[in-house]
Amino acid sequence: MFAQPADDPRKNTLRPMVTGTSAIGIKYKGGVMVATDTIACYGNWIRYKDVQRIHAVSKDTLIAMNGEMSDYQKVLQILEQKRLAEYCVDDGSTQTSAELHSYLTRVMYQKRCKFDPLWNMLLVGGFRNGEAYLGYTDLYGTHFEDNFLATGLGMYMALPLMRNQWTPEMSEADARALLQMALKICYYRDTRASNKVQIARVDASGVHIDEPITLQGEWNHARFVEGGAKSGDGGW
Amino acid sequence: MASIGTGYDQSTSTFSPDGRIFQVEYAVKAVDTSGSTAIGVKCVDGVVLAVEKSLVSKMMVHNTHKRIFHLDEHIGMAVSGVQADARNVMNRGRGEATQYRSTYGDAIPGDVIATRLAGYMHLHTMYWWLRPFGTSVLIGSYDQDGPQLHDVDPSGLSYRHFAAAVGKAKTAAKSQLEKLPLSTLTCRQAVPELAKIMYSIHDDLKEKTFEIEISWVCEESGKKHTHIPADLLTSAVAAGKAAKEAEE
Amino acid sequence: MFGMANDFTHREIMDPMSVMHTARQLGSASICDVDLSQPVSLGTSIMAVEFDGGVVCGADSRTSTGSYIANRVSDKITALDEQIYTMRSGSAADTQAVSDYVRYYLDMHRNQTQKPTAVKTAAKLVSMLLYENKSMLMGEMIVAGWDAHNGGQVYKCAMGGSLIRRPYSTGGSGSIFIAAHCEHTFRPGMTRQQAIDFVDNALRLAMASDGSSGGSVRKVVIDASGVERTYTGGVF
Repeated sequence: MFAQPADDPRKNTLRPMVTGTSAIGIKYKGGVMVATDTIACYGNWIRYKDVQRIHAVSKDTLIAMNGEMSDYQKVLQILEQKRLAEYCVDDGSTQTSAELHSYLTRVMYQKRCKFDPLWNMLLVGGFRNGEAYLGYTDLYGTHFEDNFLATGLGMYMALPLMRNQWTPEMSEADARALLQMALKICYYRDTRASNKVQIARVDASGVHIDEPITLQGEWNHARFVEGGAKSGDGGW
Repeated sequence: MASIGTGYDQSTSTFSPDGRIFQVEYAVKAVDTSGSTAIGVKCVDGVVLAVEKSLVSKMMVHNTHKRIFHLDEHIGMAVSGVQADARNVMNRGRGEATQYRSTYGDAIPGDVIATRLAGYMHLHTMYWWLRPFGTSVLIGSYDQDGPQLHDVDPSGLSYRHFAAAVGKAKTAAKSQLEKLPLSTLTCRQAVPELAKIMYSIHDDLKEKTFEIEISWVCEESGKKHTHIPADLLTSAVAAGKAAKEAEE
Repeated sequence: MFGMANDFTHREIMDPMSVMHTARQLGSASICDVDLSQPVSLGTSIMAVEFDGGVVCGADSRTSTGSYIANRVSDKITALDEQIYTMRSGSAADTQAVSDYVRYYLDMHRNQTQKPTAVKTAAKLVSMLLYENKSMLMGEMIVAGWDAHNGGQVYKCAMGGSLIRRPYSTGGSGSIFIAAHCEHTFRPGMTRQQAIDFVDNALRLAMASDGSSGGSVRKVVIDASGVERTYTGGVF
């Protein structure tokens, strides 16, 4: 998905250095839930192992990131500035998730038109007035919504799972189970992914970002344990 | 203003022979004649700001003539004097707060924003093509070092206070503020006291209808600057009215 | 040839030893054929760790230009403020310029606020400079120090300009050799002496394996009572 850090960064302004991998999100009955793992890589090196990649940007909106950490921090800073400007207006209204998503898309598109993109794929999740919102934007300024979304390698591995299993009637527990399964698949097959994951949701009571949990995965299938002893060519 | 005129009151860039800058003095006068008073108290757990304001028109939509503004989440500004000038100062304050955050990654301390706004207002007393601001402001803040109250006046002077008053009835208000137990007062206790002061300094003969606006930044509000809860304002206003009637 | 437009950004190459080295590789070709776009990498081992009440900073003392040790007793722990230090890795010239700027900004800031600056503010300034000039700068810096509000703090200003607070942080070419060691031996809530030993052991291991790190170990311990410098000469 992302290029390796360049040999000579001074030659190349368009490169991600410290990156986070897939972010996944789904709507469920009564809320929206997003999830990421908690590592940031420097090339293939898992450099930072306790990084938060989901943040609340308003009382009922959160974003989950994929891509370059520094650009993500810039995005958070821009949105925090926006939130404070809104606080100062003091008219009691706050921006909806759809508005924040739209604004964010303009920021991303403007930067890419300067050939200096914010190297991220971002999910915007929110819940207000009984309605869940889930949107996507990226380093090109793409903008769309869906019932379930994934970024990075998760697009290839988590999305098919969610297409099969997602229903609009899913409960919070169903959503959590589906996200955990998707994260587990990413952990199995993405070199930049970890099994220490963080799940967050927005529902009628606001934003909740859970403490990270560790997924175990299945490693003790009889054929796994047996290994290649019978077939003998190293695979099985 | 005994020596009004004599040609030295046209510009801030010229001193009069007896060492005065008339335009700045006139600006202070503009604050006092504008009709509103703002007071503030630094309490043990925060800062309370209050403004007395006359109702311009019966047809005006309620709450559209605010005189207490947010400069940042943790800073409030109560203004007296020329409203349009005050809003200019407010915008500058918000800009300073935003800029500080994006450069230093932290909330701007109260004394820094007061100093910067004082510098901004002083700047407008230095050039012939600028008019001094006809506004005095109170700045209530709560940063890492705790709550602070500052004032800034049209000359660019700024001080830190335990309690302060600016605007029309500042002298009367100050003498009453001095009587408050400022070293032990909490914000909850200060709110009705400020309402009482507002009612006692109000000149009923000149204008009958007026309103009080009260805000705080304190531990109870999560160190954020907000207007006080509606029920607290109602009871404070009732206390103010009762005290006024008892006095009469 | 040295008057070319890009010789400012590649000024390290002006070091006579590496010019000669390249010239030797080119055989009898004249010195004008030296490839000025070849970057010179500067190896380092730096680290900082929080302990209960302060921080320990540590660094090796080797600055190399190719395989030549340009300075065997360099000091890579630079003061930004009285109780805030930075450790630099990457291009010496770039990171020196950044720390010079930050020291200047912090002086101004302290003049205005009339009180000690927060460690976070220093780290934010460093990461801001690295982020806004990411196409021109090659460097990672650790900012560590003590302030009255948040005690001892360690921030990593990573390549690209992301800013990550960590209980301990390592950097430079030597850090990859000790990543697992540090992860294994680090304990949260260490005492001052434990933290000093942690840094000392890790740096010795890094210097033992990384040819670009070596010489002496310098340490700076910062806590409420002030700053204490130590120097252990000729470790590797």
